[in-house]
Amino acid sequence: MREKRRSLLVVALLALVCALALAACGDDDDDDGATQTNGATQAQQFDTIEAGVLTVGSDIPYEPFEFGREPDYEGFDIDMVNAIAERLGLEVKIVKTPFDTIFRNLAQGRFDMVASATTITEERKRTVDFSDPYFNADQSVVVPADSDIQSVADLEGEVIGAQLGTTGAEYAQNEIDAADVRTYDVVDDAFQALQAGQIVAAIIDFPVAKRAEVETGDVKVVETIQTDEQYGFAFAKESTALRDAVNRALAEIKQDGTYEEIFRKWFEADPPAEILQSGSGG
Amino acid sequence: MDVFFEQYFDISLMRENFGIVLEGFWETVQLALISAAIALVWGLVLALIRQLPGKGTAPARWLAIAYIDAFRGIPLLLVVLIISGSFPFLDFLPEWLRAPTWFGKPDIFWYGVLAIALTYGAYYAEVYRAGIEAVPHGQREAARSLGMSHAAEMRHVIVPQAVRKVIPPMLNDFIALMKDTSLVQVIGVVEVVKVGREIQADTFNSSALTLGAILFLVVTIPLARIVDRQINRQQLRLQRAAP
Amino acid sequence: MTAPASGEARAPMVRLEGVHKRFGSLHVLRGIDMEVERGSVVCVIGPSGSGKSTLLRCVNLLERADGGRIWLEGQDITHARREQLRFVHQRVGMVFQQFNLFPHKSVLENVTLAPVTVLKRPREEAARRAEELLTRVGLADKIHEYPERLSGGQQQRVAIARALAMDPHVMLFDEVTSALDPELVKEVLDVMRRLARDGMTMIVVTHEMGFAREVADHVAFIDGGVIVEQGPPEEVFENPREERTKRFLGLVLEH
Repeated sequence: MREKRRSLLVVALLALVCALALAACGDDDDDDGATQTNGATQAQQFDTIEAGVLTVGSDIPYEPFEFGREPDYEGFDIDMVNAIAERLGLEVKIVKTPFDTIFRNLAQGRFDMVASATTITEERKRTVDFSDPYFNADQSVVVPADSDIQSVADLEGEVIGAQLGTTGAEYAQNEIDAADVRTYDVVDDAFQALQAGQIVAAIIDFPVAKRAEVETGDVKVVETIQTDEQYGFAFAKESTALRDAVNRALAEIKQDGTYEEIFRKWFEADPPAEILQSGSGG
Repeated sequence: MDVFFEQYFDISLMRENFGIVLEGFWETVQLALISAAIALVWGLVLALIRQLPGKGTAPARWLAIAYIDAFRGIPLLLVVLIISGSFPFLDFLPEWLRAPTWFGKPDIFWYGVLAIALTYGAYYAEVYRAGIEAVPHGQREAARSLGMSHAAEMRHVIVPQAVRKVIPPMLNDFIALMKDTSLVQVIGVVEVVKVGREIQADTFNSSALTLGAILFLVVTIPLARIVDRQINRQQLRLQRAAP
Repeated sequence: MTAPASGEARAPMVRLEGVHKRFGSLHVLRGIDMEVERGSVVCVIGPSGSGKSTLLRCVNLLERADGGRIWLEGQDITHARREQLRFVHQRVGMVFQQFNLFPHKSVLENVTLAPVTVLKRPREEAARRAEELLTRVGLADKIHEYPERLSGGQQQRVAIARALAMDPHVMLFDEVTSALDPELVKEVLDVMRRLARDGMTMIVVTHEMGFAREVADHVAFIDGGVIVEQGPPEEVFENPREERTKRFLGLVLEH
């Protein structure tokens, strides 16, 4: 009887080892056939984690910037990343990642770049590098559609929410005299808490809040908090070559009308001149 | 390797944030104690229902078994999410039950307590059952031949002995419960792990998480030693017992 | 359930007629006929596995007979439920081979628990009676001790006092000295002797032939689930009629 049990154990261990080996082998398949497009205007002088692929970390969903289901993610950031990668002669791989640890993961080399409606801040610049700005954003106060709240001033002494690790959370915690600021792992949880009445308002990037208002009608944006934030793509500190290449591609996109096309697709408006002109910074 | 120590063992950061992390840990402790107290009572009720004699009580027994199976079979996280997601919309409940803010604790705290108590009540019910079944059969026979009713037998003879037997597994389950309280962070309760994550998001450093872990160990390690000592004492007593 | 009719006052205390008991495929009791007169001591002897304990446990309904009938004080209790079952437990006391004292209660509490919870006696009254009984069995000085501190013989005596506290009319003894060290047997048997002398109706399953010879009014030898032979001790022990009885006694008495 003991012999039978031991041989079962051996078989189980062998199966486990085989499974692990197969899984490891599986990853290599992505390598074959990643052709270098001749659309690349300069030779590749940067390294990516996987040759020929731009691995991008993003907190999905964050509509309208990145949302949808694998492998058909869509959104403003997605379209931007695809446009940039094409000009760099790279394929794109999106890695879904929680926002609160996204910079750390980037610094640890899990992805080449972060495209996640990420605001450029001095604090974050200590850990990662940013591309030139590619979007102007503000924060907003979003409340349930039937709420009486009209502005930030009405939030004094109330329970409000934001997404963990965002500038919205920072604003809520530092600038608003709320009774409690609840942070949520995913922005959708904040919307849900709003619906359930657990928070009276959420501080969320304006474009995302507006999108939710338009799509669902369950919430409304009652005030835009002007913070003059700008989004940038983030890179690990050592990836200067990649960042420079991305900046060049970004500049192209802004000049040749691609940016305008993408912007109009998602926001049904003209992009602000300021963004089109901002460049070669960082 | 240096990066690892910097990320997780930044002493000055730990010192700076010690107060807030401790506050978060206090939240953890409150969650654990309140939930455990309720689960201990609820678990006993379930176990006693399972022991009801007679054919007429069979539906009650089946319900108890179904409940125990269900709550032992679903992840606690799911229970937390379902409760907090559904309660605000249960119109038939009065406001003070639907969104309780008792003792100054917000509704999400009480949803967490409910989820943990309902789930761990099932685990405790099984522990009680093991204890009850471990009481020697002769005890029941003695009680019965003295004319004691089922209820009296349970109350005076079986349960007191059962409870004494199951203190080690009870304590073990309490340690598990205390660790599981961290799950309620997903509905917004700021317990020690969430505090660590918020500090991590602000500072890009994970040392507050390490501090949280240390605080846990300060409680769980002594508890584990107490469990060991109880088990040893029971072993000795068994060896010394009369025929 | 009603007051006994005048005829029943002379009925035997306990009567078994054609009692059968099976455990799965094991047919343990194969038709037991036995009568126990009021105030008499009946000793049941026999080899292991003969069904002695099962017989005893059928009398107080710890086991339910599969066939035949059982009477207690003239009432048919074979299928007793609820109230009638309570009546049986209150009239019949039992002492077990393994004592089965409540380990988490003191000696005094062991003896008062049932009178207080079942008979609803006030605590002081129950305590007084308990002390009386414990004095009778020679354990007055141990009333606040816990069972684990007592010797086997002392525990068994407490068990007897505990059963007596319910004022039973019949006492059942299931091999109560078999688990005791030899030097502790006598103290228990002494208590049982006194009980018999005071007129208690007793059914005693035992291996103690000396005790049976001395104290019993009636001896039943059981083997293979039937009573092979029964009668006054002088007959059964001195002049057994059946071959099986002779063999059993030969085996048992010769050491």
